[in-house]
Amino acid sequence: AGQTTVTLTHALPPASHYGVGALAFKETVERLSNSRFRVTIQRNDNEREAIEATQIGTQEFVITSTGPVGNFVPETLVLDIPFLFRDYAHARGVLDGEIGRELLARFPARGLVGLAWMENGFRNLTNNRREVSSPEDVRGLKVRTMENQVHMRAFQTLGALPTPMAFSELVPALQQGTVDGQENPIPVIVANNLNQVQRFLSLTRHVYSPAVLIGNPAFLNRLSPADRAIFDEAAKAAVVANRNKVTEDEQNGVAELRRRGMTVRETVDTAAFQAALAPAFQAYAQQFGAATIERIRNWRPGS
Amino acid sequence: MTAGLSRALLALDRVTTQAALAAACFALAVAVGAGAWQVFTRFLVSQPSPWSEALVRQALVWMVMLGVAGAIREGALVAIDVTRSALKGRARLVLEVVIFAAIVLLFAVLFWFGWEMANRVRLQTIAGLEVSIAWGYAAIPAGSVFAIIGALAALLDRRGTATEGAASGQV
Amino acid sequence: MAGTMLAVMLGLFALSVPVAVAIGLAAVLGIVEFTRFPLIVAAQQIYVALDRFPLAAIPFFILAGNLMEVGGISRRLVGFARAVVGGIQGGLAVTCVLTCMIFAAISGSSVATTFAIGAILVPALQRLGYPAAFAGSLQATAAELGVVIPPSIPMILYGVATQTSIPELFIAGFGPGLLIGAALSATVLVWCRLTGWGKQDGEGRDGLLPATRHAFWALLMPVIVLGGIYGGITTPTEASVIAVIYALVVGLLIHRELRPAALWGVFRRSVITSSVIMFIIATAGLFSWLLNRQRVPDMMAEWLVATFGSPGLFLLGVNLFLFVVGMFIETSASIIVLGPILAPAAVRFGIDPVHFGTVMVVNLALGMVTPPFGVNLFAAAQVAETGVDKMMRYLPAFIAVIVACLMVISYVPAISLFLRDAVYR
Ligand code: NA
Ligand code: NA
Repeated sequence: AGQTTVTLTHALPPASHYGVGALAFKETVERLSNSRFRVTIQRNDNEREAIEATQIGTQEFVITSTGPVGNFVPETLVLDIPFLFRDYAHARGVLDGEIGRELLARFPARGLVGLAWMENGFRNLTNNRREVSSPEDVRGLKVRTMENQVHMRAFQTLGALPTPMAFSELVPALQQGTVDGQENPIPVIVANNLNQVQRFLSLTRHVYSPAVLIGNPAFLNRLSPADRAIFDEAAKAAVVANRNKVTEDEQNGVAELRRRGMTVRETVDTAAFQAALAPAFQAYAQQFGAATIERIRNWRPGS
Repeated sequence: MTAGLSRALLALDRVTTQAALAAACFALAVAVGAGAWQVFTRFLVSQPSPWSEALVRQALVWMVMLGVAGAIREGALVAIDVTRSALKGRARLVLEVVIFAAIVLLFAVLFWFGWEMANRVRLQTIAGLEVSIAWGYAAIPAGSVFAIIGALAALLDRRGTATEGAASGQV
Repeated sequence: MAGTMLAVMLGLFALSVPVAVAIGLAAVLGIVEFTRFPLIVAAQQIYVALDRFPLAAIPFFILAGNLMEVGGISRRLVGFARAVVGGIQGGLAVTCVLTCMIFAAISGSSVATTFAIGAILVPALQRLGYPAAFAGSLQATAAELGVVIPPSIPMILYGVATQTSIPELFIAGFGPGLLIGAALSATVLVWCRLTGWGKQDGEGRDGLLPATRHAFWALLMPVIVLGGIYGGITTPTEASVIAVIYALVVGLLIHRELRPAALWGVFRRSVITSSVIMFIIATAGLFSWLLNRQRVPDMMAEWLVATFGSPGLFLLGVNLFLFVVGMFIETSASIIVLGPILAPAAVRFGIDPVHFGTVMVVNLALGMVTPPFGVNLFAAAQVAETGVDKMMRYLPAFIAVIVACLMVISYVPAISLFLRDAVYR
């Protein structure tokens, strides 16, 4: 049998938490298939395009943040609700469990196969104006957000001025003061040297940002069960490598950003933020169903 | 081709190309309006609009795909037309037909697969606008139809030099 | 694969098939012949290439430029520049250069600059005894500043194609723009001394104060547009929207030279110009995507690094290559296809991508005045009512001046990066 080359794209550098996940995927596939399958990793920071390309079959796999996934599989938007997850154990437990599997089961109807949940980690707020520890500090800040209605609503409710903008426009916009701040997981802040354009970091952990490994259905459905098992195994390896890297980056990242001169606020008044977001929570309950949200919130290890 | 059919096609083109250009102008006006709204909401009232940027982008995709029909009709698509201007008589006519065939081939591909793509992605929504992205992709097959008619009309009604046209479509 | 695609593309160019169509067909052929990709990707990539917010600045700056031309802004700028530098021998020729520099700060296009300024200055130069072909050659060359001094459509394209900051590229254009402007001014002054042209240039011009007052709203425009970008207020795209609104308000309400009835014509012209450029962007985007998926840029970068060995030789090689490309091929297509191929190699050589962008833009802008295919030449020949063949008598000297400036810009990065570093680093 000949060799089949498959392509996986993601938006970040090779050494990032996506990059190591992609590499683990590649190595596992090539090892278990005795190189009958080769994986080419390419970078493409237009995630919407990459998901669409996985849909039409010009690439076989994509690792993407869930930001644009909501436009393909609207049910996944529920994961973007702020303060939905208490910590990493909670988020990873929900996504690896029944709820996560139910969400992945929504993908085929939209022409995609959701293989596994990966992650970017919890998002934290940086800005150039002031140290943020309570909702009042956020009021009036121009904050760049993703083009994501759930995130935008949250910042609007807090009295900030959410400004959706492509990531590629972010650094110049921060440099020139077009926006005051932005919010991203620690590894993203470190990898993009945002400390050069931002003074204050608050570990708000206001929203958990999942990522997902998506495959092209036509390709996966053609595989023999044994080959399909290889790709499922590779997906698991990608998840493990990705999460280990996020954990490691997060532990080192805060210290690194301090060393680079950022003022870091480790604890914020989470309860006050949640109280301030009450009107937004009502809207989310209407949009996604209060029962679903409660089910995620109430998840406990072993459940 | 008979003179009657040719006249009928040119009459059809006058309607379709003018309509496409008018719609393209409208799309540009919509883009300017949405852009102005974005500037207004972001800087003057500090409540950034969530849909303006997405609308600007979609309006411009439509402007380009509709405007290209007018550009073809007016011979404004940039070409390096050294060969064409060197030829005369029958040889020139043959070359014009070859160029026409190339234009039609590309737009036929874009029509066919643009239509398929619009169908394929119709369940995807455009972030910000919250409508199906098929509304954006539909510009490709729609514009291709106008472009093919415009190319046919330009072939039947050859006037002017491409050099003048080329200069109007340049940075 | 890349070789076949290139051959098909060049063959279609030679047959006078429109550039955008030739590129699109070459890409379609490449997909069908050399890949397993479904052809539906052609439609996807055309859409993806256009669906980018920074590109919106292109039609907006084109529309703003056309509104300014109809709204009497270019005429006022000529009057102002003439009042400043027009008094000496050769002053009107220098006025042409200076007006192009000022107009460049509100227009992103060279051809628009040729039409807007040339329509006024070329006839004026002829009236004062300059040969028509000289006036046309000067106008064509000076209009190159339209894309060197920000805003600049080719810089937007380079920024989008190589993911380089557009505001940084814009600000890096000031130094090279001033250098080229000064070099061209010096050249025409010496030329006039040698030939005796332009002894009456100073006659009949306005005083500095009335000319400034007259051009006040026109001169305020670059301040607002560029000030918006560098004052940290707007993105380049938003600045282009402001330029449109400003040109409308000044033309309709302040100068009152723009009639509402003329708007249809202005929009129509802007739509056609923008569609032509953006359709090239669309098919070149498809072409470039295919090369990227086949890893051509990576392989090219490795080959270039191995072949040239040093940044100095690399820049020389790239400049020679782009000069030849610019003789024959249209600017937007060259930037979209070649930018992503050459920029990674430049970065490996330690060349700042912003600096490399200015080198590419200045070089390919020169292509607009090099025969046989030079859109600025065609535009200037039209304005001067002369032929490109007649312009060949004067053009080589102007091209030599730009080539000299290009060498300085290539090997003295500070000319491009000084302002950028002062503002952003
Ligand atoms: Na300019
Ligand atoms: Na040329």
